[in-house]
Amino acid sequence: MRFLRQAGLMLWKDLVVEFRARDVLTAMVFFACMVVLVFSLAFVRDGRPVGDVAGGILWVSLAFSGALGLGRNFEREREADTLHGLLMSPADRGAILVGKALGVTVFMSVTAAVVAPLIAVLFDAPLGRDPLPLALLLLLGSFGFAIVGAIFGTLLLKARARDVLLAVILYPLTVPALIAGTVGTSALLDARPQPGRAWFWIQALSAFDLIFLVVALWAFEALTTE
Amino acid sequence: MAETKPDKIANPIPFIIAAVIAGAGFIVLPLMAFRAPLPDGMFFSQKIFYYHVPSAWTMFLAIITCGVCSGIYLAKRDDRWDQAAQASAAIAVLFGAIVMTTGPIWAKAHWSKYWIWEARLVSSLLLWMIAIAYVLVRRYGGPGMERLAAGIGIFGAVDVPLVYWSTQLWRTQHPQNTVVPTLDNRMRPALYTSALLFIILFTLIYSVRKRLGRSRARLEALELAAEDLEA
Amino acid sequence: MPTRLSLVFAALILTAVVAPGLARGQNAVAPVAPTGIPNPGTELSATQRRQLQLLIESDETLRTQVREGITAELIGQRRREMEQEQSKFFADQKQFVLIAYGIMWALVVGFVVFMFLRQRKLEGEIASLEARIKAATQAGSGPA
Repeated sequence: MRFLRQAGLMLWKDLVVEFRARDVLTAMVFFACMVVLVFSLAFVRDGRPVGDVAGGILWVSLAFSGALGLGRNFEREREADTLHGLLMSPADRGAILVGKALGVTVFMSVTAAVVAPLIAVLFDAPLGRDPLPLALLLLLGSFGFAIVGAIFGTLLLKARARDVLLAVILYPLTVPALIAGTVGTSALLDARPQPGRAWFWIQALSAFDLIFLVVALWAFEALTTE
Repeated sequence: MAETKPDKIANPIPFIIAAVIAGAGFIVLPLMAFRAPLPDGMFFSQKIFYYHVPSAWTMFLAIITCGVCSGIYLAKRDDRWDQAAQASAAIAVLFGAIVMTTGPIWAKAHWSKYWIWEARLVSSLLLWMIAIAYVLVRRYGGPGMERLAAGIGIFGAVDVPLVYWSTQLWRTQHPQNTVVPTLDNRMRPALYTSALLFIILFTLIYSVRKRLGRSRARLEALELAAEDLEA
Repeated sequence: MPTRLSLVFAALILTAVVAPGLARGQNAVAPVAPTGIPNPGTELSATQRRQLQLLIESDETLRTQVREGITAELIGQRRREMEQEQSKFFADQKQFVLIAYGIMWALVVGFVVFMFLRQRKLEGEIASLEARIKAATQAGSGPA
């Protein structure tokens, strides 16, 4: 219970800071939209989108803007060395990690909520056909991405070339979640929709998230101890 | 601090014996591989299999070794485990490079295409990327990246089954997912000899690479000492 | 020990050079045996040809023999062509195997040599640093 309350406080703190500054979320949403527009240059021929690329574009824009948001989020903590202070506090470190990951998940979900309609319009994709599995896929995928990102964002605070290294580490390690999300979304957007396959990938994503979470909570304490 | 023992391979005699075995094996292995029969529907290029598959196994082994050593390092905070993890990651990169060059060459010979989106090829590529990420972080992250690298090692090892499983489900159309269990018995000796050789090679490179890590740690300690002295 | 190590490396590199050669020798394609067909290249004069024609027409068995001979020659020709195609394909495939083997060796040997050079460099740096520290401590403690 205490764990959840601490995680919730951490999440609340991130949301309040973001609500006052609004820089991270704005940058993420704008960047994701730009990624979609750049893709539309490549994948629209004669006024028609080529093949079923919508699901892939959604996930690529989400993953790119997620890495951007993670980087900015931790840069903010670094400027006043606040995360270090938080880790020194008597709060459970796992709770800090989970709170941080939940914050990033919220940002990524907001980004997805803006980008998905844009993709639906630009690429003529039936994204609104099965809203529940789609939302679950996006949420679970974002959380898996965010939990790994939160660990390495914390550990990279002292590194040189932080931004580059975050991307280098994050994408290979979160690839199972990205595969599950992309394939599940494609199953939903198929000409003959396959909700069964999408639900299968939702289960797989839940399993991946659980594994990432367990490993993260298990290792985080040791990883952040000097 | 002042004692100056040069870093040596821990056991030079087994090291040299292993090196000789590895060298001899790489002469015998082609002969064994070339004598083994070709399975139906396969061309001569199938011989690449005898190098490709064991190097993939070795890469997986190296990634998992790296993860285990990283975990032990986090628990014990003994630099030797960190050096072991680092050596394993370097080996994973090396053998991954072998997998990623021999695989497409075989694909070119067999399907006349360099790349096919086949599950095992894709998962090897993704896991190789994790090993490369580890090495890049060690190289460019600056000092104090031991814990971060340990995190990558642990998550990389956890990712091995996840990546393998998810790409397997994603790309299930390939018919040869059970090559090794259904192998012609006359092909086994060459394959297993090859696997053994790659393991020997793994330990050889591992010990040399670990010695390099030890030397580097010593150099860093000496640099600190020199700074103290000059200050 | 640098000298002992370099011997090991020399042995490794030597095997890298020797092994593909052995592999090549192992799989040399056997030459195709000639099928015993009379050489079709020799030209006959017009009279010879007429005599031959008469001879063949005069005898039933000779006629069938000649027909069989021509068929056999055609079959042999086709077989030779096929074997040539096959050996070309085989050689192409062998090339891929040898390239793969060569790349594998190049990677392993390159990696080992690279590590060896870095180790030497590191040892040099360690030695120079140690010498500097020694000199500094001696200079510091000497006059005091």
